[in-house]
Amino acid sequence: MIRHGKGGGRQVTALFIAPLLALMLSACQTLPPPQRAETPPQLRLDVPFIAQDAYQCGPAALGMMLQWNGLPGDKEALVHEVWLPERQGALGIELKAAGRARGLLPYPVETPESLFSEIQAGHPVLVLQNLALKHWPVWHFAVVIGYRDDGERIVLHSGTDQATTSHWNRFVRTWARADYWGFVLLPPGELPARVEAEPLLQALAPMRTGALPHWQAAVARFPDNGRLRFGLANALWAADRREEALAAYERTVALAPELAPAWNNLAYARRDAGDDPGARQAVCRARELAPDSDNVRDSVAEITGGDGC
Amino acid sequence: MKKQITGVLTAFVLLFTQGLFVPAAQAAMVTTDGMVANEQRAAMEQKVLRLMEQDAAAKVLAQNGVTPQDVQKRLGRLSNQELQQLATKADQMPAGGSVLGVVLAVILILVLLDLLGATDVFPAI
Repeated sequence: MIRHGKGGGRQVTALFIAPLLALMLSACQTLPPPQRAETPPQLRLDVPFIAQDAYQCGPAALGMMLQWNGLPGDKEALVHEVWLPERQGALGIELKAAGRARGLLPYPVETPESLFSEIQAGHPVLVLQNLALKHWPVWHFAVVIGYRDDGERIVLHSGTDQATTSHWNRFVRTWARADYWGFVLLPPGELPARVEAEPLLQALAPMRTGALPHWQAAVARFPDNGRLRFGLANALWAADRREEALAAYERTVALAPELAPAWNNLAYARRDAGDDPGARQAVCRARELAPDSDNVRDSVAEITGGDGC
Repeated sequence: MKKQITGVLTAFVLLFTQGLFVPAAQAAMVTTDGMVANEQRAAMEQKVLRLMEQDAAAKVLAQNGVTPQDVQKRLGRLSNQELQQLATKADQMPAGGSVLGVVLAVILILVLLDLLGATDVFPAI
């Protein structure tokens, strides 16, 4: 649990108020779990548990996700990596970045429906909860590992509690107050249950290490998406598999003929393969599509040897 | 003779290194991350510029002799983080918001872009 305030006294008060408030809220209305939670009516994933130390729910939650991936999830090491002492907490984006740096795909899970879909696909979900009030937050990271009773109860590794259960009603409110922030962290080749092409591209684009197998899986899932094909082509090029990269760039511009960066890169790949006229043609197409791009303008100068298009 | 050779050599070295370092070209392959970042930046610029297209906004611009092109040019000089802040301001405008709301948001953005002296703000309202 983390508290983005200064006073320790307020923290205690907030901790006291949170359950009280949840009780009051649950008295006024109920939010049913999505229907898909009825089949199967219960599910429990096998996820290693790490108990958190004071305030350090972020590193502990991340550690569990890493261990589920078969990677070392040493909490102490992760504290140094993602914990911010002055905030007494970890930032969500840093948890994602830490996973990405290990070649894992962090993909957002931001609706109750997708939460259950991922659990049903066998993927634990790291969620952010606000255990107190919207304007007086007590942030907490936990890992959803299953559910019971048609989704009426959620099973979580949370804080120092292993496989604790929480009423759906209470859980979903704390999650909603954190804008339904959550993500799965998946190994190469594995895709989220409810994956869409554009969010997948956004999730993979910043990945520096071990991205290639993820791009291959992405393209296998969305073979007609030019933008994902572009990501694959770039990853192949970065891995020095130039012949395959060239083919992937060619395929990209066939699928997404308006994508200027693809024509730009195709020009370099063609030149590398000794096809200078083809390179010139490609870079000039990029120029037509992106007349304002400095990058493309300089590429034109470089590829055409200063002649221009 | 030896001196001459050294001189010629130095000249060559100078020429050569200049040739290497002078063209500060950005020419390169575009990374996937770079493409995404560019697109996000363009979307944020669009957000701010769309606000400028509203009637109330156009009036403020005209009163202060600022064209949308001026705004666009200034936006291009902002860092991603600064642009993000402006786009958030534009976002906070409720859809179909009040005229005064639009005017205030536009003035704020113009001040931040340094297109308006802060002292001119009140006459603009």
